[in-house]
Amino acid sequence: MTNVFRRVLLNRLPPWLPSKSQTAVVAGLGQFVATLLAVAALAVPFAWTSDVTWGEAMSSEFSSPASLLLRALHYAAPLILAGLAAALAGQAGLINAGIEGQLCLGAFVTAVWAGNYGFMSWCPDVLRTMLSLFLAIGFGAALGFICGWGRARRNVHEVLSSLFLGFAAIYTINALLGFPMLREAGGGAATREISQTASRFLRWPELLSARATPADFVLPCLLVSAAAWFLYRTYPGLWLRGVGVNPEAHDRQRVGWSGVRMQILALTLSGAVAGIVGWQYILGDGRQYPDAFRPGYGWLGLGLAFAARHKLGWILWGGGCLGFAKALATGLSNRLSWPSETAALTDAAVLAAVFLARRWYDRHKPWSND
Amino acid sequence: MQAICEFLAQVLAAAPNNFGFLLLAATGAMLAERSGLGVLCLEAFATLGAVAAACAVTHAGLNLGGEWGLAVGAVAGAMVGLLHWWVVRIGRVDAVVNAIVLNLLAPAVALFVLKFGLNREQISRVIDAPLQSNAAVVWVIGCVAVAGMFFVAWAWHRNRSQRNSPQGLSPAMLLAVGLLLLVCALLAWCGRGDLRAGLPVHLPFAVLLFALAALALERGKVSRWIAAVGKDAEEAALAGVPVGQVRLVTGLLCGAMCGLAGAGLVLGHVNSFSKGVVAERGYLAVAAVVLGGWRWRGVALACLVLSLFGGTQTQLQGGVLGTALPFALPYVAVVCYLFFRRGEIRVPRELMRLLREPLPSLKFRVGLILARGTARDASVNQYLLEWWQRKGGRLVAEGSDIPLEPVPVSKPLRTPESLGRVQKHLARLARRHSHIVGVGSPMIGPFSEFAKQAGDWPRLAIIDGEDAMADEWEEPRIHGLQFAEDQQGAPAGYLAAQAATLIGKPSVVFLGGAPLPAVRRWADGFRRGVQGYNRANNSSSGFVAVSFFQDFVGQTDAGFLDEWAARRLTEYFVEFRGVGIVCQACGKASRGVLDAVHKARMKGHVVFVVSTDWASEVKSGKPPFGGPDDAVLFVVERRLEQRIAEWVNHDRGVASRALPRGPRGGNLLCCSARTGWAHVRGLPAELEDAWSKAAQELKKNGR
Repeated sequence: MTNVFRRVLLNRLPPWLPSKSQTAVVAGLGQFVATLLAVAALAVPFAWTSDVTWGEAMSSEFSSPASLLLRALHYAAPLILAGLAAALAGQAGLINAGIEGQLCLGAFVTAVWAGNYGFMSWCPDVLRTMLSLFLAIGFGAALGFICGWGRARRNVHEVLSSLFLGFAAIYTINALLGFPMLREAGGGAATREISQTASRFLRWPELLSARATPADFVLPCLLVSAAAWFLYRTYPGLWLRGVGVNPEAHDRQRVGWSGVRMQILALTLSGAVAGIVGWQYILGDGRQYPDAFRPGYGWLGLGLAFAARHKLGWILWGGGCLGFAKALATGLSNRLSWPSETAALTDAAVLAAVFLARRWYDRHKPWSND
Repeated sequence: MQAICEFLAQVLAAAPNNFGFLLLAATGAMLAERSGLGVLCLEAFATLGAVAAACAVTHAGLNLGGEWGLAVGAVAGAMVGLLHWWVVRIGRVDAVVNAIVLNLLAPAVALFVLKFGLNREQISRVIDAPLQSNAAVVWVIGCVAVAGMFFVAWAWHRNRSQRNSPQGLSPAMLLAVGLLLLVCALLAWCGRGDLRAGLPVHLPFAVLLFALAALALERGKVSRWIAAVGKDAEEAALAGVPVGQVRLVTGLLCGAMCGLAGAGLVLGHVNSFSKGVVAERGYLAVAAVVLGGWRWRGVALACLVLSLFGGTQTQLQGGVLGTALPFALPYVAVVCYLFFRRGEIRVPRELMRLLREPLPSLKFRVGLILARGTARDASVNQYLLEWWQRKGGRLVAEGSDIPLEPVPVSKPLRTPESLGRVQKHLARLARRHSHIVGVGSPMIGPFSEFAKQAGDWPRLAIIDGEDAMADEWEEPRIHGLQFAEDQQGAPAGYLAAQAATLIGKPSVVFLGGAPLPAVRRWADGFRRGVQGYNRANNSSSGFVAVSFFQDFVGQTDAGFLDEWAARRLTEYFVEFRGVGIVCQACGKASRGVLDAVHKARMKGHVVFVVSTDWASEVKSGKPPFGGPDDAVLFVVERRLEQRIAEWVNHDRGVASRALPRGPRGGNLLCCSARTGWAHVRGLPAELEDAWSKAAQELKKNGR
């Protein structure tokens, strides 16, 4: 009893003594509860002035809890992937602020390559889709490589180069959409729609609803697992992390690896994953590259990665929470007639929740000194 | 020809609007970033300033005039700047992250405010603020400009009378500022009556504030403070510069200027508000600061060029380049400049410290690290100092001393003069401050000089080697630890083998830094200890290897390299070979070992056997090892172990107060070859019992 008293009052420790995993579970649950509270806090002022009740809004938008979860999964997938892209750079101590531009580039390349343009009519749809994946990865990686090369060889800060290159890419794509040969016939400034068979690639097997594809679940898990294996089970991953924690250690002759190469590799990988986000968006949801396409996944992913301190598990869970909040906010905004842009408030609140949960975990986990 | 002239005229006509905004925002960003506060969120500052101004002017209840709208915009921007500073400084969030979040939030908040403040989605063509009543604005700007010109004239006269004065401003600077103020006064004069009639409302403000900022950045205490904080915040803090306040003021100013720019944009130029009214001008302002190299001349020139780009964009839209491509031009230009420039851009050093740990708190008033090292080990000292600062200590001084064993070095080593100088410096510092902790320094030598000069300093802990043992250690104010390598290694190896058996991973490894004789002796003792445990208990605890980083990486003359080699080696042994116990006696590289084992501990129970190097860290309350439920074995020797044990065991002294308490109540296991176990606390019961028994055996056998 005395010990409990001392722990609680003097040392400000809880009377129970959770393990590391228990601490993580508590932090994750807190994060989820904070997500729900954030959506509710945003919805309350609008619901106050609306005639629609909460129950009606929820039931009319989401037919079942499963549909809500699938919608959340659908929103979460690109966020997790964008967070992963940011985390790959972040593990090397770099900030890829151009994820938005890189994913737009990947999306544009996918839309053009897999779209109904004559020059690829000879190619089977599945092969075209696969090739578009490689192209999206390649273009995103190329943009990342330029930033990494600038950082490593020209001492250009990667935040500036990636940010401005991203903007340049976005505006250049928008300019390219003005060309009649790329534009949808008779439509606005958007690329032509890709065929159903090409987009079916991501939907196979067609078990889930139209909004959520199996790829929404498989792709993030697959890529996060691959990234975890690379970062924590391979020597290049170890070197990459090493450069991130101590960038001054990149002296190849002394420690056996080149920090310069690791920086370039990190940003290239980050750009490649960002390209995959664009590829997935076009094949899964968009099916064409619209005019002034700015999905915002890049910024959210960057914020998510930083809030999660570039830890992959936290990015996975945080991205899930963010997707859940987005699904709820988007669904409720339809019914409660609030401006959809204000959903960004929910995003920021969820990011703050991830950040606080992560910080709380760092402070309260049994190993908390580092 | 005529078409070209018309095009150029239209470009020039469109430029002032952009120039006013860019100059204001870039001036604020220049101030903040030169003090080390990254502000990528100019877009958010300007958006929120704009919406505040629009609401203030169009709200039926407020019905404020245009000049009040500008003021409200500036105040709103300043509030967001304050928020940014607070989150970065107090919340310890990275500035880039906070900027991203603010940029995401700003349009949403603006829409939220519009929806609930004015009950509409956007303000379109409704801002008709009575900017005609701007006499006050004109007078204020004009008076400040004229006063500034008088100041410039006075400074010019002073410069002429005091030639070669280091405090004086250069004639070019005075001329430039005088011209800027003159332009500002002229702009204010031209804009009287209706600021919106000819020139953008924020242009005079921009020129005036830019001139004042240029003056502030060039001379006086403010300029020195900003430069010092931007260069190195820790050093600036030690020099007495109020780092937090400087960044607070620059953050506030930056927010206010961006808010003013946004307000001027909606009140004097666009005449309406929508969520995208700023249209990425904030990012262009950041680009201007980067292009201008964080120097006022360069920033002004960059703003001018980018504003001409903006005018060109307006004219080129709808042409052969389409509507979007012109928007890409400034960004492409900035990237090209960054990639293909000649020479270095002098970025404020603090700004480049992204992802850095927060500034040290004042919990530790003074921390002093005197690193072990050779003459070629300046990097070790630097590494240790930086690490200490990251851990929250404050830097006072650094010293260098002599190697543990004579090793080939490039410079002459220990000389009486250098040692005496270091010790005098130490003594001076010790008199000034209350807590001093010395780390490392295996051969700091006799402390007679130090003790003579130190006066009434209260406490010093020195971790030292055997050969530094001298009569001065009897000095009661010096608490030293001794290092007897092979005697100390044997019980450590014994206990490590026992612990490895207990946790089911019966293999241990010894990691050392350089294969110096002392470390080799320690490793030999360790090996003997493992063998002794196996013989005594008929066990098969494997002794995997004695591995030295120097053998591994070729050379170890720099601390951070050692750390990374240590990390790499440890990860190899723990993760790939399943080693349960890592024993390290590698001083400065220990953090690498500890970090790696820390991560590997996810997979099993790993016990550290930590040598004396870290004792002072524990006493200072910042143990470098992972945490509260580790068993940390301190192996100390000779006369001082009992004193250490007292520090640890009882609620007096530095150690017991500062020690982190783990879930099981404590974390420290203090052991000595002579006195056996001095302290066992907070261990798993079976481990505790077994180790106590082993300690008794050790004591009985006299090992």
